[in-house]
Amino acid sequence: MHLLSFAALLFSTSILAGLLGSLTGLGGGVVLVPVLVLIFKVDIHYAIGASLVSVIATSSGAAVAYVKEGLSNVRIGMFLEVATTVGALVGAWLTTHVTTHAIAVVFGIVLLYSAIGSFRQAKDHEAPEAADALATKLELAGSFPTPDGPVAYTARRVPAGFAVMFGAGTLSGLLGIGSGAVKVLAMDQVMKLPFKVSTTTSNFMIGVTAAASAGVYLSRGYIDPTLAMPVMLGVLAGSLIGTHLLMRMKVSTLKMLFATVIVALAGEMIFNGVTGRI
Amino acid sequence: MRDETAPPKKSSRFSDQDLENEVATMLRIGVTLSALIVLAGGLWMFRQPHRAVPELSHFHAVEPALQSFRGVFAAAFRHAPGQSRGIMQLGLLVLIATPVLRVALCVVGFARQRNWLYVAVSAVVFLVLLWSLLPAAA
Repeated sequence: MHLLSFAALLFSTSILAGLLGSLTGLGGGVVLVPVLVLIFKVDIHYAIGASLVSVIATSSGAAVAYVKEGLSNVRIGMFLEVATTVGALVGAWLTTHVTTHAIAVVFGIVLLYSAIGSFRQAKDHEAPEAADALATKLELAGSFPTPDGPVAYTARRVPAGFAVMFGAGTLSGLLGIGSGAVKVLAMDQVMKLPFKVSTTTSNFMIGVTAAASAGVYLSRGYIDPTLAMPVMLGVLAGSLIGTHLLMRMKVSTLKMLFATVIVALAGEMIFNGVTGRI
Repeated sequence: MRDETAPPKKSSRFSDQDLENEVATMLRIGVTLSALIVLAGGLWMFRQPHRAVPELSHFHAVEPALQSFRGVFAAAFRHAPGQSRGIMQLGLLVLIATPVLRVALCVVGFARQRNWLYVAVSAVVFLVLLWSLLPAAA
């Protein structure tokens, strides 16, 4: 195949991945690695290298839109980044020490979890009955704008949330993904933060988390620029288009379709990992 | 950067929203710059006479020059085969540096708020990131 057609095919596939990823809130990275590995027959190490840089690009590129809404919480994000960056270092170290079969199987499981998690309702929690002492000490609180005026919130169960974030960082470093689904789980389900605060703060954190494994990936030769160029530019373009479309689109059918694709990719990753083909 | 038409704030203190706006601007500059460099390297690559699709189905790690900061800079500015790959990799380094600078900006922002607890928290994250980049700095 010619270099130009190779790049053009990767670029258009990545636009689609970025577009669907941002429309459904699942992120582009989560389908990139299986698509590169299963369809383009790229070695999983190069695939996670290209995915990781794409994740940094989309997280940073989309942050501009979220900040305008005033929903993300810079203090909660920074505090939890202590856990995710250390976790990412552990994950990146693991990547260089476990077999590709194991990576493929873990990847498949995370894909399944992301697909299921995308159907969780954006239901907000009732106001906390009493402030959490640790959350107060760490100033893990804030307020977000609603049509009825600002609504205040405080984080709960800080140590548990911190621990889940460490896990999210490890998965990010191991698989070259943003692991937004696990980050949202930590903030929304464990720390009982409002859903929108959780998703926007998670997006903000993804770039910093991913940057923490980039040094290991780069020095191990996982980041191939000829592969990463069309992938990163495509995912970035796709996700920016998606963010703009999101304002005026109903995505429930699309979400169902995309989740079905993800489940199929997950099955394929697990099967290939278990049978030793990846 | 800040909206001049917005109603005056109750205090002149540097707020969380001010900090987030600055961070967002910085991220946008970093991503735009990175994408432009990567794109320039890609276009340069397509103009080369010897264009081969890299062998990516088996892992053998990219050339050592593209595995460290110093090597990438050398490759990007040396007019030799592989320069286009060096330029694209340099663009990716700018991308990787963007979140690191974002955290550094937060250290400064929290200092302006006199929030020493969060100066310390963001300094810890910054140090973890610097430490994580050590293998590529060697």
